[in-house]
Amino acid sequence: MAIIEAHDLVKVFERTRRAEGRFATIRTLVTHQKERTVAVDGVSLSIDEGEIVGYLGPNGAGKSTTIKMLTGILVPTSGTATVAGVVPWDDREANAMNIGVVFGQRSQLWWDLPLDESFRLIGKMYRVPEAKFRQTLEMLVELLGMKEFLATPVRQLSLGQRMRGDLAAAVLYEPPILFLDEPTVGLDIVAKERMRGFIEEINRTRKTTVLLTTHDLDDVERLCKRILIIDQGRVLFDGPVDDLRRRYAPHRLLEITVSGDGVDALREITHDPPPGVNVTAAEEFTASFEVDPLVVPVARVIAEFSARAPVVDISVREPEMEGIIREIYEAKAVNA
Amino acid sequence: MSPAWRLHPAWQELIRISARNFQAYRFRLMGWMVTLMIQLYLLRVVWSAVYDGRESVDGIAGDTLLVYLTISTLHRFFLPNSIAFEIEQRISSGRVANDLIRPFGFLKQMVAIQIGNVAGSALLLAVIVPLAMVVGSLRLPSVENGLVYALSLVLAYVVNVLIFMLVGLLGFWLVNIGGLRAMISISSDFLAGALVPLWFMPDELRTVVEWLPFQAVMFLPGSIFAGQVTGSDVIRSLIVQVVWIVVLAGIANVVWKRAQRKLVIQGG
Repeated sequence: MAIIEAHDLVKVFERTRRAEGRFATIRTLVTHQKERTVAVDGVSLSIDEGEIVGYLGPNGAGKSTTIKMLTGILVPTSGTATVAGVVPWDDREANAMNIGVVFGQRSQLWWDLPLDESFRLIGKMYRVPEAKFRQTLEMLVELLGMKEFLATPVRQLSLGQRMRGDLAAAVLYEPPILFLDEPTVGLDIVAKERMRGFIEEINRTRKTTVLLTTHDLDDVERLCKRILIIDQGRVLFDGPVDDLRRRYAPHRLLEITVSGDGVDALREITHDPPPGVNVTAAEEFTASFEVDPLVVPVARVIAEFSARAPVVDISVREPEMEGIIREIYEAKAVNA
Repeated sequence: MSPAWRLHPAWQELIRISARNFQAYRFRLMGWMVTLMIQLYLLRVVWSAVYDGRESVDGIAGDTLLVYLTISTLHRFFLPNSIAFEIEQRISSGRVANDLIRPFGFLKQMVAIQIGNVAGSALLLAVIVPLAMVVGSLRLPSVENGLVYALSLVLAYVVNVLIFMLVGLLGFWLVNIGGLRAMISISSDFLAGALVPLWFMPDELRTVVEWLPFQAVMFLPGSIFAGQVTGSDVIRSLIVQVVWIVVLAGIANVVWKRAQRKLVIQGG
């Protein structure tokens, strides 16, 4: 069952051009010069309960604007959406109860308050019963390792600590849906891994639906089975990560190294590779190939090479997501 | 689900927190208090000299005027307009995005913070009132006047919050309203009759000022406190305040609805 649904969401920002010079503020008020920017241009999506979906796109693609409409912060110029049955911008407060939000770039915690006071305030805002609140908080403190900085004012926390606090704040009232806008931005590897582990855990135990925007493809590889790619306000791709890879970069990268007496055999192979195999680099002892598994299984290529030359080392890799995504961003389209 | 008539628990928590935050600036409060006392003292000296032994000027007794100006000055200190600043800051920093995803309305949050600020400074009254009676010219009203004044003060507070909430909401269109805010803050003191009571204003000016909401913040409760308004005029003053609350709340409601469509989140 779809828990998040959007049809043809469009958001056009109209900005009054600022007057300059004397009395600029007053003149801006009465001027009618407008600049129009189409941030989101007809986005439709449907996300099922319990899914973790990666929402990708270059800077300014419209990711955050989409999320801000689904969270009820922004009212779309046209189009419809429901989140857990609620139209977010029509009934913002009902929607708020169903969603948890993390903006990686902007903390939702109260700057001057100690972390635990921020949590308390959130507990009150979402009407979490006292006993339930204590129980959930204790679990979160444990899971995210927040004990030692729970009483520290938020402004004194490190980015990693603050981000953990933000994530805890978003799940404290156990919302069925999480919107995470760049939740790992700026974090070191250990901190990123902790965030990912937590998101995975909460999705597994509570069946929380997660829509996640990120520029870190490790987040996607680790967490998402499905991704949406958006650019210039339009959805370019929507489907399983595997599909994208199959469709866009089906080949495997094969690298072999031969021993000293295999130099001639290797040269023969690189001069006349078998069907479905391309040579991408060749040196004296090592060579790299692109293998199209639809033409020939990688295992058969390896077997053949091993029979023809004294192979001492082999590596097979999938093409990196980053390369695929970069190609899509640059081409502004997905090959059909 | 709690019944609608029960106050949302976030009110209490937000008020408590912002009251405490406000008190964190103790030194600033002390500075204010000193300034306030100097101001009250000067009021007494200057206006006593102006009256120069005369009983009354334009039908206003010197004592009454001094009490009025003293209470108005106290109002200026205790009726903050920080709600406009609060809203402006949240818009210009983009923090408003976080405030909007709460199940407790944005404007309610702003009002709760404002109430907390007042509550945080209310403790000071225990010191300020006696001091104002010694250093300045504060004289406590009769019990009856005192009660009506208390009611009028609450209404004045609501009017004040609504006015500056509207100023803050302009930030959704202008983003930077610092200049405008300062301009309105300063002129509102004058238009509210805090510097010169409406009694002494030329007729044309007085007519204009009586049609503006600012007088409902200071002049109306101030003249009740000073005992200058009596009988049915008291009721009339209270009605004027209530009418302004209804009108301003209506405008704020419309403006807020439009502001949400206008919203652009700063910083992505």
